[in-house]
Amino acid sequence: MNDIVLDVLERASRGHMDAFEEIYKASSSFVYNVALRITRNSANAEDVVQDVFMKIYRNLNNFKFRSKFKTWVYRITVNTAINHYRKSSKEEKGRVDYDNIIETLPDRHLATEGISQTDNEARLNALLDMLSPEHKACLILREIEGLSYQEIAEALTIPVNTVRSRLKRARQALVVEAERK
Amino acid sequence: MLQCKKIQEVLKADYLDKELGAKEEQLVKEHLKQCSGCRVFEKELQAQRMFFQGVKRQQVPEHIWSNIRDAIVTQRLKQEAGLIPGILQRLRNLLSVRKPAVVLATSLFSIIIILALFTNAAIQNQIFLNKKVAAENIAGYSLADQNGYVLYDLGTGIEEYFL
Repeated sequence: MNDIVLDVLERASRGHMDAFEEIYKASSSFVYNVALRITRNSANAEDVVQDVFMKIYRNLNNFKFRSKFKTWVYRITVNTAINHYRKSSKEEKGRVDYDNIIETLPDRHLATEGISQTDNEARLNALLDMLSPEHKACLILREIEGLSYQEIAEALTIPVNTVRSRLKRARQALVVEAERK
Repeated sequence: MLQCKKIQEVLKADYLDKELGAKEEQLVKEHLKQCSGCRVFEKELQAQRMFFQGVKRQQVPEHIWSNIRDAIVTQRLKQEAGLIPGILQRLRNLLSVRKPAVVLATSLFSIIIILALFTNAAIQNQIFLNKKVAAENIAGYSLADQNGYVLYDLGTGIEEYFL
């Protein structure tokens, strides 16, 4: 995700919808994909995207440019997605996640590439599900979104060494799981 | 073995993420050439990374933006419509909410006002009585003539009044 031009941010904070749409176009892919990996469910990810952009809209006037805008978006996204995941996990505890089963089932109309993609999705979700939301967030930001240690630390408001140790633990857990299978 | 443990710790983060200095990276690479166990571990980490990076990014469903835009428009309309009632509601809340500090302040203020009124009434009463007594004293020393003119004797009576 690239940082947004200052002029666009200022116009959006004054209520210009076209400027806000520009912000949405620049950052929605990041927000949606991170939300999808953390919540594991497209309906929840859609809710997270809507929550995140409403938070951005309401608080844009209070954004003081002490940090980069994109770091602020990373932070709101991860926090909103983790809160959503925790809330829905409580609600869904002990209940079969039919939505997820349907999502991960291969579609008979899909081509071979499509089937393998669906398998990959299911495998990715299964792997990420073994991790705590905090470890999962670190791994997603690093492996899928390609953020540096410093960017992850700023987004999650944790020290760089904590980012390092969370990545180590997450990768160790995944290697152990891969060996077990 | 101890060295392998340390190397694997480095492999899991800094080496994989290319956060190591050139010299340290070279040391790890030399170790990997000699140690098959660490080489296997490094390959597993790399395979995992490839897997994560190979998963396709999902397209954002188009209807999300229209939902957000609608929510913003609704919020704006609500804000505009609710500006004056909002102020009134806040005032009403301020008056109706019984917060301990507000209750204490109101009670103290009321007590002070009541005390001030009582004190003022008592002072006014005392002044009235003093005036009455003084008038009686003055009247005692007054000399009324036949024509109704009252000539006051401003002797001891008025001095007592001021004392």
